[in-house]
Amino acid sequence: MHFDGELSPAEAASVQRHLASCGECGRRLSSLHKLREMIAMSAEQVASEVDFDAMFGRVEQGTKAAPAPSLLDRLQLWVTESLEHNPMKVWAPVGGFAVAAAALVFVLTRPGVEAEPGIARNGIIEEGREPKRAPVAIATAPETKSAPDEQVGANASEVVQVDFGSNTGTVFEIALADGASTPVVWINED
Amino acid sequence: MFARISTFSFLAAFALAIGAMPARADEPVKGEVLVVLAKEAAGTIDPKLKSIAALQKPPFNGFGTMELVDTHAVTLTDATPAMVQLPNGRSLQIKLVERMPDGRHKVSVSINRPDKQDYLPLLTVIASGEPFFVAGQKHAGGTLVIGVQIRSKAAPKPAK
Repeated sequence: MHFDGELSPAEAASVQRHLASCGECGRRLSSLHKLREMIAMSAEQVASEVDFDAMFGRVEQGTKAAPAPSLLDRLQLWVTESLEHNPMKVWAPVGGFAVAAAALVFVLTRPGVEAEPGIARNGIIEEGREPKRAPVAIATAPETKSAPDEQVGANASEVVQVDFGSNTGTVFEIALADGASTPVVWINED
Repeated sequence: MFARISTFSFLAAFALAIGAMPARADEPVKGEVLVVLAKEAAGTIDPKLKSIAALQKPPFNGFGTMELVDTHAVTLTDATPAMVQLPNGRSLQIKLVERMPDGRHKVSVSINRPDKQDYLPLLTVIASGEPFFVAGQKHAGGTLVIGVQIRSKAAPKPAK
């Protein structure tokens, strides 16, 4: 309060008598005066005393001397900064890669089309009334197949669906050589 | 930059997926329809039928007489079914339903009468190249046995 001049004359005189005999308080008051002088100086005056060209030159030399970051370092920095400020910049391409990879895996590993559910290969199906004639199913003795045409495959044909409607009928297979079989659809006509 | 790369990679994978799909050219599928009249009475078996193994086995080997009435070469396309006139006045229709990835063909078979509703059975068959048979219709004192063989490109099974 004495430094700011806020004491009464009697109080100020009392503080002055103390300062005359107390070195420490005198030094503290002196530092306060110096601080006041420094604050009173303008910002331009301070800036005019700093050599910014030399400072920028030192910064430029320092950046040139430092080695350039590697691609991995730059990528890591990009990921870190993007996750912090704009996560979609990271997750959008990741999602795109994942969808593309999933599509490729699906196409390459897609299983063959299976027969539609329907009649079992060795099943006998009867619709409507009991048939008058029930053909015997499944021969037992294998035979040598005739020479196949080059375009004729050895995989068995499959009946996957049959609808006799108002008629009756059966579906059965005739066993052939080499495990092959031939499906037969028998319609029972009245 | 990375967004552009991901878009490009997605389009590349999509193009690969399209290319990996089996070729769907509208190539005609050829086949053959045999119409056989079988009777229980003792008689002759047409020599051309002796090469068909299924007809030498039950129940067909129970017929004493088997006459090859007609043979039809058929061609199926995705748009056009094949029609075969049967000796009993009905017609047999074979329609190509699907070309299977393993070279077999899914076909639907129906027997129609011109003046009446569709006569069943309506079959859906995955044809491998081996014949399948539709039998049982009565005609001229016997039984019609219709053999259908659709050519396929299925790989043959390894010999056991």
